[in-house]
Amino acid sequence: MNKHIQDEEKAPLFGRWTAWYVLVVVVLLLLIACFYQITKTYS
Amino acid sequence: MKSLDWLVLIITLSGIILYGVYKSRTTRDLDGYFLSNRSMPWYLILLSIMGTQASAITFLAAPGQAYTDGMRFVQYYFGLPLAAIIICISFVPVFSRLKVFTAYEYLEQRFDLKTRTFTSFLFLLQRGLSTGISIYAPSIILSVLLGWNIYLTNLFMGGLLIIYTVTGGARAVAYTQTFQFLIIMGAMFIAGYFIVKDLPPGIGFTDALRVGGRLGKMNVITTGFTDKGFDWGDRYNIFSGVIGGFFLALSYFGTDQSQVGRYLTGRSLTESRLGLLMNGMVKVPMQFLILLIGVLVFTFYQFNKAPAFFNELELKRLEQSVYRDSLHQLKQELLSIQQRKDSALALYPGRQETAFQQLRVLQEETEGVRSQIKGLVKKNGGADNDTNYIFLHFVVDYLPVGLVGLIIAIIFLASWGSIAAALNSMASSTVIDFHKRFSSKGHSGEKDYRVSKKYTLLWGLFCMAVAMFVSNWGNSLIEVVNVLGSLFYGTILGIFLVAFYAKRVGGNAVFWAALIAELIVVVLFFLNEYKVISLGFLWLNAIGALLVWGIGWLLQWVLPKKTTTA
Repeated sequence: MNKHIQDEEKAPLFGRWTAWYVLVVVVLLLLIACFYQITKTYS
Repeated sequence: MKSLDWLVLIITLSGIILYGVYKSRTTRDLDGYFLSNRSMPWYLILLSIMGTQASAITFLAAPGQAYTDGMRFVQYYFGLPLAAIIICISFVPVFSRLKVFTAYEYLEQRFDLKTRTFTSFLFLLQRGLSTGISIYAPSIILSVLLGWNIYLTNLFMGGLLIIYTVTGGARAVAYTQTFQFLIIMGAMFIAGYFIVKDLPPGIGFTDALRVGGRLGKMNVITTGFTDKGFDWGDRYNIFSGVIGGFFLALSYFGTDQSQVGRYLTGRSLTESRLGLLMNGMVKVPMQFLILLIGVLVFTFYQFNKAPAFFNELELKRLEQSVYRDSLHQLKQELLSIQQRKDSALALYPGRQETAFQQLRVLQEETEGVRSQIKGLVKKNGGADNDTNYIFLHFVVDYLPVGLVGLIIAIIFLASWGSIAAALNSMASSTVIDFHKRFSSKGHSGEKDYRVSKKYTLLWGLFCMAVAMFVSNWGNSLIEVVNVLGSLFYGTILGIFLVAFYAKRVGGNAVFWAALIAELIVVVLFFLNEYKVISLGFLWLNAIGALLVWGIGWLLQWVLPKKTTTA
């Protein structure tokens, strides 16, 4: 059922929703890495 | 506040109310009132989602939280982006396809009426209490600034809010939230700029972070591990943030009608998904910046004399009590510590390690004295927690004329935005899941519209009543709201997870599993409160959801086979 609906609407920019999900995870990982560096630098 | 501040405040608040009423023009039926005729683009959904989540509590209590406990609170949001992905994959397509008004409608189709009603009831209970706290938060401002009685202030604040919300509907909520949110973010950036600008000459932004960091406030990432192993009672660390925060966010964005109602207004599935995913990407950095303001305020007060206690009303009461001599003595100690801090800071940046060593000792002394003052406040019958007053106190004392009014206005706007969405969602759940579901009369669109307005009004009055009782709850308002959510969200989420991913589990099994799970969560909460066990509240979300899942499967296996399966 879910797959059927996903197929109905193509994701903007990348064409696939999976690419959007990967982007969200990558942004989160980058933020955590950046925060870790901030903690190390200033604490 | 000066006249210019009052002018800015009145113009901003009147402007937003008029704008809300102007934007409230929509079809006079349920689809128009609750879902804005499903016409919203992704960027309005994004801002509406953010505006709903970011209440006045976010802007009042978060800087105070960073001031007292450091930046580590940001980890609580790490699970949010992951939850947004799951919701986009599993939740949104189903809600969108079924064209539901509330998330709980789906549960009747998947399970049965009693599961839908129970889940909707849990939501209403939790959201009603949380919204009461959201009304209380901005009321603090008026009571501190004007010396008003907090109960009368709650009435004033809630009264204005109800007029605006009942008229508005989902469309007005979304448009005003957008406008509000842009003003809020702009004003917070300006506040941050002025804090750094008011630091002594030669002390810049990075110096402020260095001073705050060396005094323990830049603890953005923490692991929760101690010499004795992992501390399950530690509230904020990367593990509780990612795992517990994930379950909390999944429940909040996937099953809380105040958020589901925002993305159901999307004009297509794509718009709803984009709004949610964008929120997943911008929420963490936004919260980081708001908390950072708290660290900057903390550093500012290393260079400037901080109040003995940030809640001025309580301080004045203490000064007129039998404890005034003890207070006077403690104030003198704080003054002496501040003088020694000034000497230590004079060593910065030339001999910064020596300066930091001295500052750390002096900060411990400060916290010791402040803790004694809090003890006196408590003995005097007052609220000993001043976390929520820290940022406000700074705003009123140090920001330039005009900006004070604007900051006060944004706190109102943020509060109104989230409360408006909450009242709208509670009214929609009451109308759709209870009133229309259990009423034998068929109603016209116009009549449904009028009934919806009445329920919005009733929920507004209920939340105002709750606001009267919350003045002494927990450590900071932002924590109280999250603790309250964690008591119910796990169970609600468990029901939805079973609905989506455990197709063999039927209505009876999940209903009894949810009841048992909720009971266990409440028992665990109280065991933790009475120090029998040590468990950070974020874990309750994961525990609740997993219990519903596990017990649901067990009961499905044990209960007679005639129990329905999907």
